[in-house]
Amino acid sequence: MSPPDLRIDPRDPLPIWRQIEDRVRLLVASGALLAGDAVPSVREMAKELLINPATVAKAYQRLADAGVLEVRRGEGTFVAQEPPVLGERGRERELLAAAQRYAATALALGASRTEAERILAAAWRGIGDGKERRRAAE
Amino acid sequence: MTEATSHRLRDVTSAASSRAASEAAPEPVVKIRHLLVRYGQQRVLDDVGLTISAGEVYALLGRNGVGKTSLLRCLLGQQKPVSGGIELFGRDAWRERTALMARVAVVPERPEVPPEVPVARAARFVASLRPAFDHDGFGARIERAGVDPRRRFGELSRGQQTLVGLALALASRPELLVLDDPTLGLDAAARREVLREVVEVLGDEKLTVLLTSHDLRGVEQIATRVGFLAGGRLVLDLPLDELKARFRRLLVQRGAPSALAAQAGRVLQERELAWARELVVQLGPPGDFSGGELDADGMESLEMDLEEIFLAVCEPADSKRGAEVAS
Repeated sequence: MSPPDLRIDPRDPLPIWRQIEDRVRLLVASGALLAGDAVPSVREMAKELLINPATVAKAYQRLADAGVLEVRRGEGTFVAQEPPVLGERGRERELLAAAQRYAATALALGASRTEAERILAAAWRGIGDGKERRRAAE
Repeated sequence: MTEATSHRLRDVTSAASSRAASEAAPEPVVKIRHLLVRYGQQRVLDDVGLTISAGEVYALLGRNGVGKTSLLRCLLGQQKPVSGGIELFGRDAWRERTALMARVAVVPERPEVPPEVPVARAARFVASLRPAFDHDGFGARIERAGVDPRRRFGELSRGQQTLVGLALALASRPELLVLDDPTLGLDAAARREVLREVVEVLGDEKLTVLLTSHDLRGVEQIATRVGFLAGGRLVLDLPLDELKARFRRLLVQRGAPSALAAQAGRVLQERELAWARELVVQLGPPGDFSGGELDADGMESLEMDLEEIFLAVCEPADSKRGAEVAS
């Protein structure tokens, strides 16, 4: 397995720890990281991203508190056996917020609704199907 | 996850994080109180106070000529302040400067190695002053920089010179590392190499870093705390996370009353765009406000990066406005 893509965008105004947190959650949700997979150590990740190790530790701590990651003493940090899933209401809220951002971008670029939906479906295939494939391969 | 592992991660976080460290450590690394520096009638620094705790990466930011260099000179015992006190490791920075400088290493904008001196000889010279000099660490760092120790300093590229300066500073095993805009004038690749070497030592042992820089993106990647100097005063001094949580760019309908925005916080900038009015606001301390409410009122609330915050805080032409921003 190739190492997970954990790039951050220095131009993104979101705090870096938040970007790492979101990114790990997405990788878990999309199946790029599966239960029990190792994530890079705090120091490795800090060197890779050229950021303060304290920032990585903060993101990992939040993910561990949320039950997404677990630390095994002397072994490293791993995706938890059963990473939590958002409740129905929470999921709907997050989806709506993201959909509003996407719809606004599409409108601003002058895209039609059909075109926007087609591209959403394509993106879905790109991320979602990878998850299915990996599950099948297990 | 077990209680024990949770604690372990928390330990990692707090060891490097400023706040926990400041609560645990009684002695801050740097303590500046009521610092006044005057050249003739001009007050360059006026009643500046700041504290840097062990393990912190403190970025001191401000426009050119705002007194950053004066502050560093006072801190390093190179200049006696008109009044006010600076303590390093709990001792007076001016009176005990000779003893204190053994615990501090500085990387200036241009490293102070004569151009005709070979790198290896510069290292021997520094090692003669610093008994704890780490020859292996120095060798590894200059090798990563692609520097042959037999080369004369003046033959190296600007980026390599800075990396050698940094390697000399780090090999001295300082407790406080002062980086005085070391990446100024370097290209993106060289800035990246410098950043990589700094990240390498963060979280190591007990190193505290004070840096000034024009590379705000780099600052954002490593700083734990940020101070803004404007008009001779330290107008803001916050952990980076809190700083970013306290500034928002709001987009409201043109002609809409700005009372709504003013309710959210102090308006620092305001301008009319073709399709909206844009306001930059500084919010009160956490708890005073929730971003959700702002969105509900038909405003769009955008996070700001450090560069945008810097411009909003430090750009006002009249220094008095900057001074009012104090949290």
